[in-house]
Amino acid sequence: MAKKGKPEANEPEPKGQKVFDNIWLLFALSLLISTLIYNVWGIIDLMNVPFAK
Amino acid sequence: MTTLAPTTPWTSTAKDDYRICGVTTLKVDMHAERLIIANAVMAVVCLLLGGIAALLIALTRWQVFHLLPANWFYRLLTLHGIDMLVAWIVFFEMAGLHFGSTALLNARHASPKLAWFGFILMTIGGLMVNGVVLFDPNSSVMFSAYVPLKAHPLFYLSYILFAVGALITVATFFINIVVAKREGRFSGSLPLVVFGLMTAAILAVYTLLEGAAAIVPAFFWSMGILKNYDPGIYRNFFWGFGHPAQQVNLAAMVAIWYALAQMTTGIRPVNEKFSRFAFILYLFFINLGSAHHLLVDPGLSFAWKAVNTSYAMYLAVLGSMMHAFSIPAAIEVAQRAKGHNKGLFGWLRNAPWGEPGFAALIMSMIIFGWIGGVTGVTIGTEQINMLAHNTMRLPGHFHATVVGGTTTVFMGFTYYVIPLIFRKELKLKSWAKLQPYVFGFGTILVSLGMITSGLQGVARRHWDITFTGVVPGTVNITLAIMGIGALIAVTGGIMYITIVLTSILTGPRLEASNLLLTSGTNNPLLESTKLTDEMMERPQNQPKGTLVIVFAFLAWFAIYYLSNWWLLGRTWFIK
Amino acid sequence: MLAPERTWWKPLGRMEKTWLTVAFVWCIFLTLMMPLWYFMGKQNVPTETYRTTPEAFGAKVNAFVDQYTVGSDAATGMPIVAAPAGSDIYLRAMKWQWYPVLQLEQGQTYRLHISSMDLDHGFSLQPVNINLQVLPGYDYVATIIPTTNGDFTIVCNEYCDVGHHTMAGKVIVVKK
Repeated sequence: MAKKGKPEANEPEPKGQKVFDNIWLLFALSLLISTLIYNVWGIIDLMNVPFAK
Repeated sequence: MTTLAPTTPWTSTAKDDYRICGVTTLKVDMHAERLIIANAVMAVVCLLLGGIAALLIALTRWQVFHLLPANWFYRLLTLHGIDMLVAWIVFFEMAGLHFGSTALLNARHASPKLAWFGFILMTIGGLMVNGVVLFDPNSSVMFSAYVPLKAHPLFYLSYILFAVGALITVATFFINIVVAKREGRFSGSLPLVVFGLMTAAILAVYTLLEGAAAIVPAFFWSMGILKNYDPGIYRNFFWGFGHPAQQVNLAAMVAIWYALAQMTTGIRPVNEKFSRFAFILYLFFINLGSAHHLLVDPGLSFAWKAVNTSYAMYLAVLGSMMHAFSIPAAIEVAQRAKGHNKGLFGWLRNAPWGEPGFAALIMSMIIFGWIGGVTGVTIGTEQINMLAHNTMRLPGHFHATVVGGTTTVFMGFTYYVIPLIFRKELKLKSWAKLQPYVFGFGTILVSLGMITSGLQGVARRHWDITFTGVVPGTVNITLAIMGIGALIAVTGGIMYITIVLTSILTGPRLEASNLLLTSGTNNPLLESTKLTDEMMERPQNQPKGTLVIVFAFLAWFAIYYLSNWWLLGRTWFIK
Repeated sequence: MLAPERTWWKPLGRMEKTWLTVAFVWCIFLTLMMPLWYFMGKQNVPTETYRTTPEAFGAKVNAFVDQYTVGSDAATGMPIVAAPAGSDIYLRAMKWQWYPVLQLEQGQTYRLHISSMDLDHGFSLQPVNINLQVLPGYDYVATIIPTTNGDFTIVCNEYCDVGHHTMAGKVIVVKK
């Protein structure tokens, strides 16, 4: 995470800053991660509950 | 060094309907101002309804009074949950979103008609659900409305209208930002407070979509159109709405923490990358915490429970711990730079404790972190949850977070919204100085009373636990602590509502002339722009006191957490 | 609240780094505690679950009661059912009762099947303070060993309509 040197006024913004500024990327990842790990995986677990013998 | 306000000039077209704030030099779009006022007013109305319910149900669970009969207890408990957890807090957040996407970006409100439509839907939904619960005897189903418990179809419709209205409002937040960027109203990155509000807005989209997934089928099921609705699937979607809704509150609360810290002590973030990274950890992982409610549910695997309840290796908790350092550190650096340098905590002793916004900020951080956060992570531990699930440890935890944390700081922030947006003089300033402390202290007692009752086995959402004859007599003491705390907190709530109503309903319209309410004529917002990189990095300005505080917090966290494992180890064997 | 510097991506200060490292280590510890206890602890959340229906589960409960009843509870008239150690034992939740009264032997293992006939209920064993969620359509199996003896109450701690607070069941644990 740490970068060396002082930022210059004319240098382009650091790539990390651009990623943090990309609200649509953050939005998409937020929804995707939550939906897959919490909803989809959870419902798969429920669907896989076997019938009683 | 930050500038006070972005200086891109506005185009002089009919679209630009704004005024310039004399105190902050920010441009306030008139549509945004009216929307903020409308949402703030509805927020307070819902707080009042929820607060009346709070008093009556607290006096019922306080066994000595046992005020309400059972059916009214369950009815008002349902109402209290919905009015507080959903209505009060979401209306207030919508006001925040309108503010954050316009005034803080030097931008106009690009979609006022859509925003008003969203507001109207939310208002209809909010008022309708109160009506349904109050007048229909069969709709006391709690805020969670677990299928197969069935309410009147209008109950579910109310939720749907409210959620759609909120979703539309959240959409206008993003529309405003996109338009502001396109019209060149601001350049570079979003200010940190707006970034935090944006985090809240993104979490809100997930929240509301989950709400739709849970409640829309429930609506059709309540009318007999949908025949079967698996209770496990309902719970997955409902808590995909219910807990992230609280994380929206968390993100909004943290954004307001940064705002109030800047407004009362003139901070500059110690490291923008650090703070933004903490918000991004929320974005990626905090919704997984929905699993906290499902830890002792049938059908779900250990792996799913452990991964989700831990917010993926506790990374979202890491985000909170980062903010817990970042904000006091910024306050400390700003204070030290002003000369309050004595010892480890001179900066804190000389902080503006009499300034309502600072009081609210500190009470909110302490209660949220030391009680809310610690208890939440602990009882959200998969195995430990067996000791806590559906006991009063649950409301004990979330009254610390939602009430002690979010509500307290929203109340404090309101005191600035009144002169700056409502443009009325804040009346009863001496009350405003005390109110955060009264409300906060009451909430602490409520929370501790509930937690200690839950540790003794007292159930939540339960009209009379002594009925079962099973709880020890000491429960009467802990429920009394909760009851006394409730009386104090309700007093704090009444103070807030009185201050707000007196201020906005009496007196002339007055342009604000001072940022601080009670502690001076200096302008911390302006002062924050004078903090240079050199001042921030000077060795004597470094936040040593904060480091001590956060380590003390960690020690307390460890003690509480580990003692719960010890408690678990003493119960029956089970797997 | 105001515009940040153009380039705010800077290295972390020493204090931020220190706290971030310590906090992260704490997070790792929290993460590891759960699987650690899963493998080494004696108290874990049950996972064994079967799909069922109120009718099917109710039949199993009745068969269990018929087979192992040893008496009836003085206060409620409910059958007291004592199955041998290692058995599958059954408990059903319904507005507003837990049926039947279970009698267990301290130190022995039982496979406790819990389900609901109607709504969500909350199994809260007091004063042991073990709490589980009970859903209709799901047969939740908890393998338990009572480590203490005496009379225990099952409080319902999931709101289940107006009689919710009257819903209290009983478990008796006798010494070996």
